[in-house]
Amino acid sequence: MFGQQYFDALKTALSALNSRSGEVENAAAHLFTAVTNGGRVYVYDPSGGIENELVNQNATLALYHSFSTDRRKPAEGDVLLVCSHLPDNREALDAVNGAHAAGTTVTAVAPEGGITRRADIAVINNSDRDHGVITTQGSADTFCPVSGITNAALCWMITAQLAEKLLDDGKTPTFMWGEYLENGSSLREEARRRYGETGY
Amino acid sequence: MIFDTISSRRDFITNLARTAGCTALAGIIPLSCEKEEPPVSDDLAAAYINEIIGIIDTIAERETPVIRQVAALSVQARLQGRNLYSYMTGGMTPFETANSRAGNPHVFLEENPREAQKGDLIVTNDADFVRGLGERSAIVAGITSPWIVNAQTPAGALENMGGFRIEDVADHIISSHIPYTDGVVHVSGVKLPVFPASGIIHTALYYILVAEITERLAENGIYPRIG
Repeated sequence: MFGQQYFDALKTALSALNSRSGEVENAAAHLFTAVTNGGRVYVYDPSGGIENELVNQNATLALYHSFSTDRRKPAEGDVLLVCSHLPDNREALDAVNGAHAAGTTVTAVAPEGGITRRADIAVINNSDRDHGVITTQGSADTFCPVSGITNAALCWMITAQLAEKLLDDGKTPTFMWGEYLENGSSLREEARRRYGETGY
Repeated sequence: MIFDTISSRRDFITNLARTAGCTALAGIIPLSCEKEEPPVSDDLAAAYINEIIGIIDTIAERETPVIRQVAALSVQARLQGRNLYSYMTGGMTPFETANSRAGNPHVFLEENPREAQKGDLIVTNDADFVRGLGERSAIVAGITSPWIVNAQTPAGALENMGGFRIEDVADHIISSHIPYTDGVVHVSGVKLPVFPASGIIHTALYYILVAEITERLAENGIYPRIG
């Protein structure tokens, strides 16, 4: 059954992410260096998904900024975290080049290709280069992708590792919270204030 | 009703103790009336992946029948000339489930889902969006979200959100098994669990359902158009 196939493929892909722990560690260290030295972390995903997932949402780190909408653009000392399910997406490559021109370093989460080769730190995600894990008679294409999910999972692993580094360094990271939670608005306001003071 | 929020025998006993009074069971069952400190992992990244896989396992174990039921209803509707709609919200989910996303087999219509009519079927994780559609006899398949009260929301956890529940508007409920906090990892010094599961789990549920529908459509000679 296709549903079971997708379940199985997704679990296999997620379980395999633990083998990327070294790259995740490097990525987190890269972000840690930036935020503990007054830098910012900008998130960019040409499809919009990861940016919307990590920035300003419930239970995420308050230190993430949107590359697409933040008024202040990346500068020296900042990090651009770029995420793509395509290895050579044109917009992502342009963002990487622009970041480097501005003195910003780049961490990339993407399939092996142009984006990961140009990044300063790369977390390779080849979990689903064909954009799907299921095939059916009557179509040559695979469908039902897992790469967006595994990209997000890797970004959350990097986030978790970053939080751990901050804690190990005696710094409690600031988390953003959802409006829907009890006192959600106040919690969000407090998170913005605390992040503004600490930088993390 | 406490049984709505039971996920384990320990939960049952704990809730029973709180209802009956802690002293009644003190000394019989090792409980504390104080909230236990949740376990904090020393490897937050691995903890996150393990929690996500745990939720996926729970979905596979408990939600497969309703997923297949919704898939069967979807195909029946399609074969009767009705429309299938999806409306998914959240972090990454709307982007990952768009028809334009590479690998999406275009099972659902995205345009104007509020126009769903009698016999059409809409899949959504946004219970607010589908209010009223049931009155037009559209079939609503709801995927539970942490930010809207559902049968698994602990009593009192989202009182600020009022009494509206997804069960009020959906004919079929697919439980995502995401905790109301959305976050799934406990971090030292932080009151609520962090690192949300909803983006990943909602996207996964969408494609599990899409996979089931696509298979059944193919069995009826309707083949996917891949995004």
